[in-house]
Amino acid sequence: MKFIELLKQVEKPTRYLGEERGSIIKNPQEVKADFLLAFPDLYEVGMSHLGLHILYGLINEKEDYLCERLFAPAGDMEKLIREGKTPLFSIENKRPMKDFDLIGFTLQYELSFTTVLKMLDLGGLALRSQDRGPEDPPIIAGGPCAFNPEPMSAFIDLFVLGDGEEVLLDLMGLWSQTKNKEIFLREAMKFRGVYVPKYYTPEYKENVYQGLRPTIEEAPFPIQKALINDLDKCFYPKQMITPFMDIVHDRAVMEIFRGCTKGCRFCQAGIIYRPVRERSVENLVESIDSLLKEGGFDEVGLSSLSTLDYSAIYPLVDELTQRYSEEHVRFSLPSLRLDTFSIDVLRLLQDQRKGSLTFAPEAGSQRMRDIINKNVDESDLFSTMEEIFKEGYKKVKFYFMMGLPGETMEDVKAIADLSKRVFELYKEMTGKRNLEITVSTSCLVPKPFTPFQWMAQENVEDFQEKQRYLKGLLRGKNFRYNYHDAKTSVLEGHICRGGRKMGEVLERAYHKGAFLDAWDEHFNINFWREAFLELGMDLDKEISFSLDEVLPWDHIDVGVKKDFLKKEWQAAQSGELTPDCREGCLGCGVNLKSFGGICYGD
Amino acid sequence: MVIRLWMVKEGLMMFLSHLELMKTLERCFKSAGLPMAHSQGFNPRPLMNFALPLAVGVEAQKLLLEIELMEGAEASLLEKVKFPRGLSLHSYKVVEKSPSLMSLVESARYLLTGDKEKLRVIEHGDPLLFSKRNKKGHYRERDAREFILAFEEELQGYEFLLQAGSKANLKPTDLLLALLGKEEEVHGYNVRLMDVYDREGSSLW
Repeated sequence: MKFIELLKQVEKPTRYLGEERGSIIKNPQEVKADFLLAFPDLYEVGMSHLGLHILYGLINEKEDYLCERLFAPAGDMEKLIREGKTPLFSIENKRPMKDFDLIGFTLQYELSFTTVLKMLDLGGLALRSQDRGPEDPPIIAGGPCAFNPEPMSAFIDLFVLGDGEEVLLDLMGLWSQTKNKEIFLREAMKFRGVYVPKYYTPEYKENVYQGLRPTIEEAPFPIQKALINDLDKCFYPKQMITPFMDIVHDRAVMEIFRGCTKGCRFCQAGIIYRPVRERSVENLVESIDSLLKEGGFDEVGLSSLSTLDYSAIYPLVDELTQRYSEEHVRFSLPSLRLDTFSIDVLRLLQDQRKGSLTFAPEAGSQRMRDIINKNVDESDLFSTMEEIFKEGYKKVKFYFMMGLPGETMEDVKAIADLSKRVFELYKEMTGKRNLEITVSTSCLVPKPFTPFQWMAQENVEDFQEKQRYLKGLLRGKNFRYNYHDAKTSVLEGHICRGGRKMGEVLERAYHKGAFLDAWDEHFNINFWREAFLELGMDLDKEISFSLDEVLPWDHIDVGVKKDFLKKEWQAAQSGELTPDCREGCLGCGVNLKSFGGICYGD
Repeated sequence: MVIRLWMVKEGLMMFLSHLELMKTLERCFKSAGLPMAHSQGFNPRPLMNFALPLAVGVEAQKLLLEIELMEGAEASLLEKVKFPRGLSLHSYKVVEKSPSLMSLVESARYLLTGDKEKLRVIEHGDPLLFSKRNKKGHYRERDAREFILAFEEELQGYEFLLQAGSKANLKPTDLLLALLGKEEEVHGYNVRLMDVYDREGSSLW
C-alpha cells in the first residue's frame, strides 16, 4: 500500500511521518552498520526523551553509521500492521524493523516492558532471544531499567548499563567488523557496561537463589556500568529533532549535568548515575546556542536531576538571560529547590508569565523527610513560599510521596496541614484567597540500588486508603489533589525488583493483552493478576528481601557498594540525616580509586 | 511590516494539521533569524495569520498567509528560510496592514483527483448529503450542493469552487465523503487547494 494512502487511515499521521527538522536520512547502502533506536511508547512520549536525541545524533554524526527511529504504533496503525497492509517500519526510511543490523530499545520505565514485546512481535521477531535465529538482528537494551536487567533478560540479547555514548559506537564498530551475531555477542563483552544474559546461569541452593554465574571465561563478573567522566568531551547534539506534532515536552533540552549528590534514599537515579559530572558554562552556552538556532525553539529546558545544584547555576543563568533577552526565548527549570537561592535564580530568569511553580518536599512531616534524607525543613519551605508570593505567584504545585517506610496516617495528614499553612501564609501576606495549590502524591516504589531496595512496598488497599484520607482533607476550591494509580505503582514495584522469572510473567501478561501499560486507557490489572497467579506468584502479596540475601541484581556493579546502601537503610530507620557528598566524601564506592569515577572524594 | 506569503504544501506535508503547520513555520522563521513581531501580553506569539486553515490530508498549491516583521527588517531574509521537504515559498510581497486575511476569503478552488468515475455523481442533480457540525456542536444533515459554486471536469478528476471562509464553508474532505459515501474510499483521493478568492471573486494573491 502506498505510504500516503496508509497515513490517510490513521488519526495522527505525524506520528509516523518523519521529515522533521533535524531528522537525518541516510542511504542504508552507503553505511557500514545501521542501528534502529526503538522507543517502547508512542511518538509523542518517545520524542520528549532526551536520551533518544543524544544517541540519534551520536550515531548519525559518524559517516559510516546510520540511526533511524521506531516508536510503538497506536491502535489504528497496529490494526493496519496486523491486516498485513504494512510492516512495522522505521520513521526515516520506512524500512521494516527486521532490516536493521542492530536494534536498541530504551527501558525508561517498567510499564513499557510489554510494549517492547509487542514491537518485537509486530516486527516479526520471536520474543525470546533463544527463539530468534542467527540472521535476526541482535536486540540491545539500555536505560535506567536495564540496571536490573533480569526481568527482560529472556528477550534481550545484550544490555548496555550506564552511559551509552562510548559503548554504542564501540558496538557499531564491532558489528561492522564481525557481521555475525554469535561473534558479536561474545566479543561485545570486552566493552565495559555490556551484559549478555545468555552467558550467565542462575544458581540455587535448596531453592534459594545464590546469584548468577558466568558460563564462559569472557563474561565479566560483576558487570560494571559504563562511565563517562568528562561530559565536556562527550557528544551532545547540535540540533534536536523538532516534531511537527505537540509532544509531551515541546522544547529544546540541555543536559546540565549527570548524577546527583543529594542522597535522597528513595531515588534510584541518584545512585545509578553517580558520580556528578558537570558540563562547563562555556560548553552549555555553546550547545544551547546551537539548539536554538537549528531548531527555532522558544523554550529550553535546563535539565538534570537537580538543576539548581549545578555549581555555576548563577553565572549560567546570568549569561543566558543576557544573551537572549531580546529573542523571545524562555528557560525552564524542571522543579525548584526549597530555598531562597532558587528564587534568586528564578528572578534572574525573569519569566513574566508567573505560571505555576513546582516544588518537591516529598513528605509532609519532618520525621518522614528525615527518613528519606530530604534535607529540607519547614523554615526553608515557608521562607521560599514567602519569596514567591512576594513575586506575585498565585499557583504552586507540590510533589509528595506515599508509602514511605514507617509512614502513619499522621504523616499523611501532615501533607494536608502543610498545604493549608501555605494557604494561610498567602492569605496573610496578600489579603486574598486566590492561591491555587496542587498537591500530587506518587506511590513509593522501592527500587533496586537504593537504600529502600530491601523493604516491602505498601499494598494497593493501604495506598488507596491514604489517598482517600488525603482527598478528604484537601477539600476546598484552593486545593487540587492528584494521585498516582496505586495499582500500576505496585505492579512496577514487582517488576523492578524481579528476577528472571519475572520475564515469564511479562510474556504471559503480554499474550493476555498487556501493552502500553502506562496509558490508563490500555492498562488492565487483570492481565497481570492472572499472569502472576499462573506462575504461582501473587501480585497482591508484598515482596521484601533480607539484608544478607543475594538480590536479583547483585551481579551488576553501579559503583555504589551494597554496604553503603545498607548503612543508609539503617540510617533511614533511625531517622539520621546523611549530608550532601559535596560536603565530604561518604565513601559510597563510585570514586576514582574503587570504580573509576571522578568525584568529590578524589 | 506585513508580508503576504504564497506557499506550496504538498507530498507528506499534507499530513500536517493547521496547528502543526503554524508551529512548523514559526520555527522555520525563527531558526532563519527572521525578526518576527510578537503579540503583546505574558505569552507573546509571533504574528501570523492564514487565509484558510487546511484539514489534515489536504495539499495546497496556493497557501496564503501573512506574517508581521519588526520595523526595518529585511523581507529578503525570507529567501534564506529552510523548510521541510514538501513546504516551499513560491512568492512573497509586502502589503498594507489590513483586516485579517481570513476575513476576506469567500470561496476556494480545489482539485480532487483519483478514480474519476466515482466523482461523476456530481453531474446528476441529486442532493449530496453529509453531516456537518453547527456552532452549537450538533451534527446536522446538509446538502453539499448548497456550498458548491461551480465544478469542472479535469484530466484526472474534478475541480470545485466551494464557499469558504467564516460565513459559509465546505471542507473538501466533507465534499469527498458526500460524493463517495464511504470513508474508506476517500483515502484513495488527493485533495489540493488551488486558490482562494475574495467577495469579488478575485484571487487573494
